[in-house]
Amino acid sequence: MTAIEPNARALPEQCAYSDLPSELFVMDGNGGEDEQIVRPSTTYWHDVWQAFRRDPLAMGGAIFIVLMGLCAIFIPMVSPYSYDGFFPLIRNQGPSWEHLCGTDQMGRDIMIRILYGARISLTVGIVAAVINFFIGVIYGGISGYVGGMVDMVLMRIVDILTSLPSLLYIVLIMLVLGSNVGSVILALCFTSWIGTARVVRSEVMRLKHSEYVLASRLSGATTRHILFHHLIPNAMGPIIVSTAFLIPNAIFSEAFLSFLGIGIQAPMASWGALANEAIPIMMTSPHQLLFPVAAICLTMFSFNFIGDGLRDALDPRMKH
Amino acid sequence: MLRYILKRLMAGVLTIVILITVAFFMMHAMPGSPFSPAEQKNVPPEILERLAESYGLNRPILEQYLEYWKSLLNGELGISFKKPDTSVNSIIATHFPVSAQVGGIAVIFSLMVGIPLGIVSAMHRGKAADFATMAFATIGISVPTYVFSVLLLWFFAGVCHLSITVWWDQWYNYLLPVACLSFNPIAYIARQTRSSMLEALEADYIRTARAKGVSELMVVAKHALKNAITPVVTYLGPLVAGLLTGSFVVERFFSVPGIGRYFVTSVSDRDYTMIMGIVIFFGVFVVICNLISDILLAVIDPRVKLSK
Repeated sequence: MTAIEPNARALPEQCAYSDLPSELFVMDGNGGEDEQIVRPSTTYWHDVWQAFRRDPLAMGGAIFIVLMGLCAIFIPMVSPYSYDGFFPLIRNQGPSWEHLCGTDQMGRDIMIRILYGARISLTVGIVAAVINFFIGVIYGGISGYVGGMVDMVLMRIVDILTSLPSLLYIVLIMLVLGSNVGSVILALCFTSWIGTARVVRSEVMRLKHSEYVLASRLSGATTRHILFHHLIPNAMGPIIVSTAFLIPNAIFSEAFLSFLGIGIQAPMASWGALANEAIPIMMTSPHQLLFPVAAICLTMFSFNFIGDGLRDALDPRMKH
Repeated sequence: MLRYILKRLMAGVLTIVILITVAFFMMHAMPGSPFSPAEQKNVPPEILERLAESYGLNRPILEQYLEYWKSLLNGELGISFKKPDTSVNSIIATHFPVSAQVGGIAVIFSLMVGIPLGIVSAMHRGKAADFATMAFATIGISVPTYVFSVLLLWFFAGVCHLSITVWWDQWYNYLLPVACLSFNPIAYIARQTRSSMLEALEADYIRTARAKGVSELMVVAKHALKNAITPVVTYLGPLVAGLLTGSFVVERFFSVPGIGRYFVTSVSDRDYTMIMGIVIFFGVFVVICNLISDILLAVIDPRVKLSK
């Protein structure tokens, strides 16, 4: 018993605590509730949504885009005005209650033309982003996962594509296929998947040596299964971010092409074409220039804010 | 280092060779030709036939391709179809320096404004200066160059009644084109510098530097900036290539006699030799700029290994 001699004096005190009536104790905190799990356990995507929702700029951007999309779909259905026609009596009018954004050289309502332009812009932006997403994921995934010679060849092809002057081949494609929404989308998709492909490639290269990939391979999973069920879903954050920035790029490029006069042709209304038509008369009726330009800028703002918000939400390492 | 540069140059030459081949066949696959009777309605078909003959356009495409290589290896880009008296070499030699001058000033201007803006906003994170800079940078990224050019044009010509649409060789003629060209790059560089600067300022070696009493100015200028600058250097390659070879819109708006317009007109004119000239010129430029920016990166940041 000599071994525990030093503790012998402390022992009665410890015993004494348990003899005291429990009323004398004040519970520190809130009665053990701290230890309970109050929040429901969240998934990754739930966290992302929470982070995104708290970003006022990103939410503002998203609401603006949704509202514009709804207006672009439904207002032309009920509006008395058409994007086409010739109304000589009301040419070049400034904004009024009948024509909120005024009328153009042909007397057409500018607001309805902007909304038709929004249909084109949003279609081009979203379709181009979806196509680029798939090409980029497949191309970058194969390049990163297979590696070696295949990777070398695929990356050299990318190098060659990036050293082509973009305006030159876009003009070429537009000339070959004619000026319509489809050929604009195709021209834009020619190289804009490269950014996504590079992101996917580096993510896949980073993840492919993880233990879970090894485990999956040991249990007999095929390459395709590993790539599309393990690697790509885990790399989804950066992929979504790079795709989100593709949308404003595509919208920007479409407006730019139409602005140059090689994109969407009259009488169809694209924002770029609207701005271009207004340049010769911008001194006398600046509203014809400013409204389409405002539409372009606000949309670019919104998509960039959404992209920034998604990046902060999906990839907290990038947050600054 | 030398081995790496040689290897990259070899890869660059290969890239250019493939680029020329692809562009050549793509171009000939395009419907219509420079002397097709359907498009040149004012010229008798016999003359068009003779013209096509004299440019060798009636021969088999492979033969034309080899012929093109032969003249290319002699340094000849051929005679422009649109301007029959001038060679593509001389068109590039006259118009490129103008674009390069305007673009070069724009690159320097973007760096000189963008990097300090990024540093200032990183150092005053969350304060008014940061907010103002980032608001500006967001506008700069979201507003397309052509929109900005139009707005500037409208403002100066329409509101201030200044005559600006004539290109004279005066220093102030550079102001507006340079402002338009550097608007987007400044915003991008400022954002990039800010975010990598914030990352660098949190690093351990910065704490060490501060702990041993290095002044805040030296901490930023000597320690943090060196690491914060690398993403900007990576961006510099494509930026220099893009700006020095001219911008179609900015040059058209401000009547700059640069090379930018040929990126569009050469294709719509079916000016085969000019298209090839532009493709080769731009391709070589991109390859060289990317190589230089990679070498610069290795000089600034020894952790980047060139020889892998």
